[in-house]
Amino acid sequence: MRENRYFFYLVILNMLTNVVMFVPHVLLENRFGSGMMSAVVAVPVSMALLIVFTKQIQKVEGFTLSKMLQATFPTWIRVPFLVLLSAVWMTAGAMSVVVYTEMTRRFLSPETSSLMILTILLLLVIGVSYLESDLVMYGVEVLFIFVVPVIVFLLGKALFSKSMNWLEVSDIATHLWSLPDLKSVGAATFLFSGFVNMAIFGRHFPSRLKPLHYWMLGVMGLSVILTSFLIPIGFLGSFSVERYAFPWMSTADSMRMEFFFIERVVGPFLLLYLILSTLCTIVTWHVGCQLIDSLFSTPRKMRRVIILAVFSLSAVGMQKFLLNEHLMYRFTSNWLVIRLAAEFLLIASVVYGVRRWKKSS
Amino acid sequence: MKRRRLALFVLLCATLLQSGCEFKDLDKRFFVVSIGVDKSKDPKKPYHVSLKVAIPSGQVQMGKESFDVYAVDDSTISNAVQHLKANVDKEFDFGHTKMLVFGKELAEDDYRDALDWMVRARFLQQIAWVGVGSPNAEEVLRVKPNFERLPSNALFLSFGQIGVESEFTVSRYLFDFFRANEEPGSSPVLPIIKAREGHFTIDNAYVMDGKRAKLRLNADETVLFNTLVRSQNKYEYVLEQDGKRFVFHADQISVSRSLTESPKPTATVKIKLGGTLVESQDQVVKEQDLLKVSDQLGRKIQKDIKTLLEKFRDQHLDPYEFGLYYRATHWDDVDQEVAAWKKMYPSLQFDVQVKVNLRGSGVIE
Amino acid sequence: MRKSDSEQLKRILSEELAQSDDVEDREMKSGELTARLLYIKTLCDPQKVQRFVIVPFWDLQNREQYENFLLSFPGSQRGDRVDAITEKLLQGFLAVFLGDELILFEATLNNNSNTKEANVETAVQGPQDAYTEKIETNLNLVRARYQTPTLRVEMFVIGTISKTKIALLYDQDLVNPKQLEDLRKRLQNIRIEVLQAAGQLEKLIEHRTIRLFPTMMITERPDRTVHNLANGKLVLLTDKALYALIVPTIFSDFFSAMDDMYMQNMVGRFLQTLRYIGLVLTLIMPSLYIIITSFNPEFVRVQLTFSIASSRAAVPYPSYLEVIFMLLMMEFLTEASIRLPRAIGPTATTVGGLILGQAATQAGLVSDIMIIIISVVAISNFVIPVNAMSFAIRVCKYPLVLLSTLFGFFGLIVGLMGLVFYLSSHRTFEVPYVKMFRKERKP
Repeated sequence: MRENRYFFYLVILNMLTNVVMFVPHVLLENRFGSGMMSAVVAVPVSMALLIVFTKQIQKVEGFTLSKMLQATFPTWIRVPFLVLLSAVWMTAGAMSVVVYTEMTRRFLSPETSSLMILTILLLLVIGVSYLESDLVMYGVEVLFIFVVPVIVFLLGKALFSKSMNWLEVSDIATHLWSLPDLKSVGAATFLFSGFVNMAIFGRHFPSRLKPLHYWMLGVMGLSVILTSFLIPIGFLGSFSVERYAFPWMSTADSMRMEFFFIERVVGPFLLLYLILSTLCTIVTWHVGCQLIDSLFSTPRKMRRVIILAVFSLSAVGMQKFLLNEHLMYRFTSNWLVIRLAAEFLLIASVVYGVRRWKKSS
Repeated sequence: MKRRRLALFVLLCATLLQSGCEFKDLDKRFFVVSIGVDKSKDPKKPYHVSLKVAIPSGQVQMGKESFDVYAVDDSTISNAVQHLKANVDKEFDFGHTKMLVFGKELAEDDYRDALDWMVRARFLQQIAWVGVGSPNAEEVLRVKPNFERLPSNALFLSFGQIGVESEFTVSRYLFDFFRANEEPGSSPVLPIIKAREGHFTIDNAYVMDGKRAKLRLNADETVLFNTLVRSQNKYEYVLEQDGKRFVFHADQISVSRSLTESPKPTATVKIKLGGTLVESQDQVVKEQDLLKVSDQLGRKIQKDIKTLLEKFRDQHLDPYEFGLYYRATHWDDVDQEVAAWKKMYPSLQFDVQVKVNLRGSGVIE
Repeated sequence: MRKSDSEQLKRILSEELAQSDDVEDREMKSGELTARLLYIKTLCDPQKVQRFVIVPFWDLQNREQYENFLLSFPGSQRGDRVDAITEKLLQGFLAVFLGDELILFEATLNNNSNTKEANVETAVQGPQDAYTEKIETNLNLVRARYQTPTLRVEMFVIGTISKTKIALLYDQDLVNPKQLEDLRKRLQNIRIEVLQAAGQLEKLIEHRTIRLFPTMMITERPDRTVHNLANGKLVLLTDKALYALIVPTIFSDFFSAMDDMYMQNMVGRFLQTLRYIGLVLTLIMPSLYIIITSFNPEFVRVQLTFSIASSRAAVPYPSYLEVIFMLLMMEFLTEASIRLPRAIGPTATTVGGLILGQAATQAGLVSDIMIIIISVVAISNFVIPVNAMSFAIRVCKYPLVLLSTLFGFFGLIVGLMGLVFYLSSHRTFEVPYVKMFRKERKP
């Protein structure tokens, strides 16, 4: 567990940021149809991907994606493949900050310009992501240890809250029997996709997962996806939930702490998600820029900073392009499906690559 | 190194120039603690909006609170709020608005637009309490309780269930009101806040039909409704028998419900009450008397609740959320469920079972 | 003892010990009489050595007589087993080789009269000894507490004018050789005229230009030094400088006092948690005040907001000025009470405290709550046990105050994240500066 904890951080980080990445939105949109089933189906699908991926990279000591690709694929496949992957990673990080910026502008400080908020966040991300993987991870760990217990506490508080209407939840739960659809599954599998970050972090933090760990991950993932899908329904109601632009923010606003000097939960919730979504961006962009950096023979700090600056520019562009939450939602929900496809592609290449690599060496 | 420092400096200057627009000290803000929406006499300006603004004073003392109520008629609520800004020299801050009051007239006519505004406004918190003000919302806002230390604190405390726990009070958060309002299998219930000289009385409630207040619950009915939804865990019921009165204090309550569709659609509600007699005009209560009293009490509560539920049904109201319960226990398509329930509810029979468990007769025999 | 044995013994002893620069190995020859002395300089009393070992050697001229002379002292004995001899040497004995014979002569130096009590890093239940300004005494203090032959002492001289003696201590078996080589190189590369303090040495060893957080621990406690030596760290003792430097030190080391180790483990854990809470409080309290009063008063309970509002009602300027004004006053008070002579110090703090606490609120210049916050900030800052870190944290508040003034809560959180990552981006001697759960089980 002691060495595997870094793997858990990466996965749990993704699980918790799902709220920012519109995952509950996609499921809530289909709440009377495929939503529930997709949420449930997503768990075995993504656990299968996770298990295959981790098993493969455990086979090779000091696995890195770029080294493997270099050893087994010709350049004309390798370069576009890596660029594509890092583009997918870049979008993940960019969406996470862009959406968060929109949320914070709406709920925390409505008069500050979104460009300003985004710029500050991006500066922080650039300043961190170019560092070596282990240093990034240690910082992530500190913040993670501070943030996650509080989030878990808030989720638990929501579950046991008097305002949580379990009839509404069971109304949705009784719509389990319908076929899952691609969009919802794509969204729900995002929760587990933190494991792909091991493509870069795996070199510094090799993990040796046992069956117990996989079970833990599976149970954790299922409970996180059910909470993030069903808690808004329990609070806001199965019919009225679609009337809210950011259901999770409104849900947090509907929670009340009776015996604390803070009464409204939405404040702490926003701040915690500020940390989580920034961490998500830091991690994904770190992976993205390391992937591109690995195309060159020697790693260089300055080059990584430049790559991150390019990422940042595209994030700013995204913010200009995706003006409101509807556009953001449409973009993100489609991206989530593309991400799932990219994940399949990645894992197929890893399975193929590791086999060939082992044979050749 | 030098260049980096220069860049940092430029960046700092840029941020300093950019911001500063949001910085506003407490003394430049007026905290709106309650909002009241009434129907005005002017048909062109149908809304009469009143805001209760707290004025911080040097020392916080009991009964020394100071506040102001600003009110104006306008065509929409947002316009009214904008309009009211002209009356004051500071910015309104709605961050601590915890009480939203509909005027009685507005509630009985059509409250949907007002509710829509409240849910939509991002500056209003979802955990604000909603109530109906009688005789109107502005009167409620103008009440100045003698024991208050902060404006509107009395209302916050009585709804927040921290200060006083009363079985007569229905408390509803904004989000929950909106949920029940949109929900086809539910009818929201709002408390009626009656303004008195120097205090409030909150012991009645309205049941809404999604558009207007339709049914008024008196104090006894409110207690029974609260028993059903178990908003509290302490209730008192009065039993009159042979000209003598017994008061039963229940502190252990469990309520369960179930629906059966055949042969006749029936809703079964099982209530178990446990508690003690706290007031009895009969001097001595023996053991067999105790059994008799609890039996009669159970029968009375059973009858009252059944009458109440039938009253809801006949008015096509569903505050106890049987409709939602139906959907929660059926695995069909949602539209089908809603339609089936609509057909079924008017002919629904109620089977109420009450079991009273008298543990004793208080401190004395 | 046979001759070959004795030769072997000599070789082993000089190999085991002689790599330290404070081990003395000398031969005396007078006529046909030869004697070889082997001892650890810092553990032995030079006067005893001179008077009872060296001078009699020249006076007596006879091996038997000299042998008997040495053996007549209480504590003297013949030695034959290597490990026993090493142990004795590490206790402050002198090994005298006379041909095939070996005599152990006790010459322990007791420094009790020379050492002071620790007054910068005080401990409730721990040892009270502190370093002195003499490197020999300090080495003696460490040697006396760390009695293994693997402890190495290397001497350096730094400073073209001051010629300051520096001792580098480490445990041969535990130290990371890369770190050792790195530190040696850095010490050799130092070019300076006058070196007078351990902190100065720290700056010379570090390469970075902008430095805020300490990466080496400065300590006056021999027990802390010994604890760190046993954990494989490097220690630098500076002559005429009172303090020792411990290399490499990471963030969490600055939050442990020696007392934590001497108390029950739950108590120690609790105390450490307290310090981290103190750290968080001292960092964010001023910023929180600004944010609650000027950006997001809706965050806290309505009752609390109103009491802040009413206590601030008379204050005529924005909250950030209030905060900065009070913070500066607090820093002035702290500085004044540190630098002033002992006799005046308390007066200054009393006067200052009185003015700040009473008059300022009554005049309506600051709010009551601000006073409470400032006290919390000051006190929780003092909870951090190592001064270097405590000073660094004092500095860190100001950027956070600036960020919160500009961007409210958003600024504060971004600032805190920046701080965490700034800390975690450091390495000292290849060790990551911030790493949680460090004590990993060895595989």
